[in-house]
Amino acid sequence: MAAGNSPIVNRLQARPQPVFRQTLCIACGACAAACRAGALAMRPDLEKARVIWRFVPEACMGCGRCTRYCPTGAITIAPPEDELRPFKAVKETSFPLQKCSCCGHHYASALEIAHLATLVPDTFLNNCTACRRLRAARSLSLAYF
Amino acid sequence: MRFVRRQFIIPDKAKCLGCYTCLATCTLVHKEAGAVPYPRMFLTPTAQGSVPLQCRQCDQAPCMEVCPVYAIEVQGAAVVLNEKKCVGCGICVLACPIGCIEIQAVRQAAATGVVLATSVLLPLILSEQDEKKMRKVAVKCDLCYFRPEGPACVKVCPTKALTLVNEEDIRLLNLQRRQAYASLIGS
Amino acid sequence: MADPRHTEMAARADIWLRVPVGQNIPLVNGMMHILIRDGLINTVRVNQMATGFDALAASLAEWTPERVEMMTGIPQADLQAAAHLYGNAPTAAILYCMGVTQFAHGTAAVLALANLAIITGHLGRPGSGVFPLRGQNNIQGTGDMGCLPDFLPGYMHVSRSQDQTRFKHVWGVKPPSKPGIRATEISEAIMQGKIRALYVFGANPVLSEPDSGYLRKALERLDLLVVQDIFLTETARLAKVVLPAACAAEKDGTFTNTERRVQRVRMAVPPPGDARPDWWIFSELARKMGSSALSYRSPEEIWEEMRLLIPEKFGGVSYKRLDDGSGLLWPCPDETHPGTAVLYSNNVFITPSGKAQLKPVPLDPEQTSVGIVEKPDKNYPLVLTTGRRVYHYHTGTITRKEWVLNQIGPEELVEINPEDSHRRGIRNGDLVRVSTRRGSINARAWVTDRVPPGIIFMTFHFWEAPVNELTSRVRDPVCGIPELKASAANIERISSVEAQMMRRQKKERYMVNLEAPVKRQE
Repeated sequence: MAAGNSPIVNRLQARPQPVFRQTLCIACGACAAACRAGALAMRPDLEKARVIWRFVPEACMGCGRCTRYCPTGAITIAPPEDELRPFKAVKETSFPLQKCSCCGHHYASALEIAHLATLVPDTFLNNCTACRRLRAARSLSLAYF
Repeated sequence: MRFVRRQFIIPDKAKCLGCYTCLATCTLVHKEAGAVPYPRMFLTPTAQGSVPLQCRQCDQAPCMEVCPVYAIEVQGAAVVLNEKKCVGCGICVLACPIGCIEIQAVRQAAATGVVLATSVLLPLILSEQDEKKMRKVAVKCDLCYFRPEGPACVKVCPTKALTLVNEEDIRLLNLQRRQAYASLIGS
Repeated sequence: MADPRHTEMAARADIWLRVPVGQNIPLVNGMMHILIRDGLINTVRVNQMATGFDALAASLAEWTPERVEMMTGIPQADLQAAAHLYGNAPTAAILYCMGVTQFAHGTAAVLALANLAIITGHLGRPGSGVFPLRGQNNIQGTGDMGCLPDFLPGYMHVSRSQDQTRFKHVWGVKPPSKPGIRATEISEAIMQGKIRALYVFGANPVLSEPDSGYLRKALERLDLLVVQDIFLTETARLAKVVLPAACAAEKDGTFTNTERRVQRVRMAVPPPGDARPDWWIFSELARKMGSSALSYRSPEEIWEEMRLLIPEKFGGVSYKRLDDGSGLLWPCPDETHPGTAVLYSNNVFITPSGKAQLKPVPLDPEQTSVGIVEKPDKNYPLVLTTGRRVYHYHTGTITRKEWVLNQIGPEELVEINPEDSHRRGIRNGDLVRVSTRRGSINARAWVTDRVPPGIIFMTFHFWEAPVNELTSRVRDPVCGIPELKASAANIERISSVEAQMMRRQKKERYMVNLEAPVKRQE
C-alpha cells in the first residue's frame, strides 16, 4: 500500500475512488454488473463454496456507477483529498455461497439471501430457481378453467 | 399503486404436450419487438407431464421491490422489465418465488440497439476476450404488452393449454364453486 | 406405454412400464404368457389364421410374470394390467419406434410384437395393427422405391429371377442379382477395400452413424466421396464434390407415410441458386456418364414407370387421383381400386401357406437375442442410450441453422438420474465428460428422474457433442441395424477449461462455416 511517487499512483490519487465497507456488503454482484471499466468483478468458486469479490484500482475510472447500484450502500465514493483512502481500500475478499436445500446446488451468496429475507417473503428463498419452478409446476392443479 | 386489473397466464398440465411451440413463438415475438431474443417461459417436467411456467405478474412483485436500478415496473396488466435499464445483477432472479426470471447473456451489440441471438454455449466456444463483450440481462414474461392482441403463447398453443386469466375470471370461477358447494350441502 | 425414460407420453399413459434398456423381449413375452394363462386368446381363431401357435405357447411357458419382474423390475400387477388392457380391447394398435429396433436383437423384438398382435387378433381390422413410427416422413417411400440393399422397387428381392426379368424388360439392363452392402457395413467395407467411391445424399453419416470415429477414418480413405445435400453438412467437409440439392418445399413428387399412404408434394418455392431436385441431379449425372437410361423429364414420369413396373402395388396410384384426393394407400392395383387401408383384412398373409407364421422368440444369451451386447462393467458402469428431443431434428442439418430453435435448445444435455449423479458429485448444469470404449465427448448434465438409475440419455443433434462417436458398431445379424440404444459408458465432472479444450477439438473436426467461400467447379 506504499504510495510512492510513481505516475500511476499520482493519476489514481487525482480521481475519486470507491471505498468498500465489507460489513455492509451482501455480495449481490450489482456493482460488478454495473462497472463498465472492468474494475469490479465477482466470480464464484464452487470448490470452496465462496464467491470472490475483486477490485482493481488501476482500472477504475471513478465514475461512481457502482455506488448508485449498490442496494446496501456498501460502496461509497471517497474524494481524492481523503487521506485515509489507501488504507480503506479492499482489493479482494470472499463471501459464503448459499446451498439449495432441495438439490444442493450453490446458487447465490448467503448474505444476499439473508438480505432478501428482510424484503420479501422468505418461504422459498433457500431453494434455487430451478427447484422453485419444479415446486410451482408440481403444485399446479390439472385444470383450472 | 396499480389500477389496472391483474392478469397472468396459467398452464394446464393435462393439455400441454411439451412441444415447445410457445417458447419458439415467445422468442420470435420478443425479437421482433426489439427485446432480448430468449424465451420468457420455462418448460418444467413433472410427473403428470411438462408445463411451461411463466411470471405470475405478482401484485406486490418481489422482483420489482428488490431491483436496485428500478428496471422493473408495472405497465398495464404486466410487470415489465426494462432491458435497457437492467444491469444483470440477478437479485430479481433470487427474489422470484416461482423462479421465472433468468439472467441471459447477449452480445454487447444489444446495448446499441441491434440484438443478436446467442446461446449459452458461446462462453465455451468463444475465448475469454469475447466473453467480456457479453452483456447480461434479466429476462421475464411481460404478457407481450406491446401486442394489442395479447400474449402470443396463448394464441399459438396447439392444444389450448395456456389461458390468460384476469381477476374477473377468478371471480366467476369462485362464484361457480361457491354455488356448486351450496347446492351440494343443500341437497 | 413402455419406455425406460419418463417421456411426455409416459406422463399421459394409463399404464407406464419402465422397461429397462434392451429388455423389450421379456416384456412382450411376459404379456403373451399372461394372455395365454388367463385364457384371453381365441386359440381356434389363431390356429385358423396362423401356424406355429403350439410351439409359441410352449416357448412362452417359461415367461412367468415373476420371472419378468426379476429380469426387468416391472411390477407383476402392472404387467398384468397392461396385458389385459391390450388383450381385452376391441381394437388395439402397437406403435413402436427405434427403442425397439435399434438393438442387436431388434428383429427378434419386432417378431415378438408381431406374435403379440397375431395371437390377440389385433391385426387386419381398422384401429389395430403394428406400426413402426419411422424417423423420417418418407422412409416408407424410399423403401418402396428400392433404397434397400436387398430389394428392388416394390420389395422385389434381387435374387428372384422372375422379378428381375420385368425390370430388365423396362430398364434395358439387368439389375444386380446379389444383395448390396448395408449402410451400416459401409465403413468396414471401405476399410477392407471393397468400396473406393461413395455417393452420400440426404444423409449426414458422420453424425448419425455409430462409431463415427471409425467411419471418419474410412471416409478419409475413399478415392472419391460425393455428398449431395441441401446444406453443407459435417460429412460434406470430407467430400471431394458437393452437389446442392433442393429441399422438400422446393420439389415436386410424392411422400409415402408409415401407413403406406402415397401423398402428393408440390413445389412451394423454387430452389435457390444451383440447387436442383435429387432426381434431376441423378439423371444429369447419368447423361454426363454417357447413358440415356435416366433421361426423365419430371417426377411424374418416374412415378409412371413405377406404376408400370409394380402394377400390383402402385398400378392405380396416378398423379391425377392423388391430386384429387388426400392420398392413396397401396396396394392399389388399378384405377378403380380405392386403396388398401388395412392389410391382411381377409387374414391372408404373404406366406406360401397364406397363414401368419408365429415364431417363438426364446431367451438365448449366446445369440444376444435378449439384453444388450455391450454390458456395463467396472470402468464403464452406465448404459448410454441415444435418441432425440423435440426441438431439434436428427443431426441438426436443418434445425441447427434456425436461431429460434437454437435459443430453445442451445446445447446438448445428458440426462442422468439423481442417484447416479450424487455418487459422482455431479450437479444439475455441471459440465461432464461422457466416455465409452470408443471416445469421449462433453456436454452439460441434466439431473432428472426422467431416466432410471444406471442409464444416461443423450441426443445426436449437436456436433458439439457428437454422441455417435461413442456408440458401438454392434449390429443385428438379420437386418444390420446398429445397437444405438445401448453402449457401456462412464460419466465424470470436468472443469470448464477441460470442456473448452474438448469443444475446440470438436470444432476443428466438425464445424461447418456456411459463410466461408466455396470453391466451385464447372
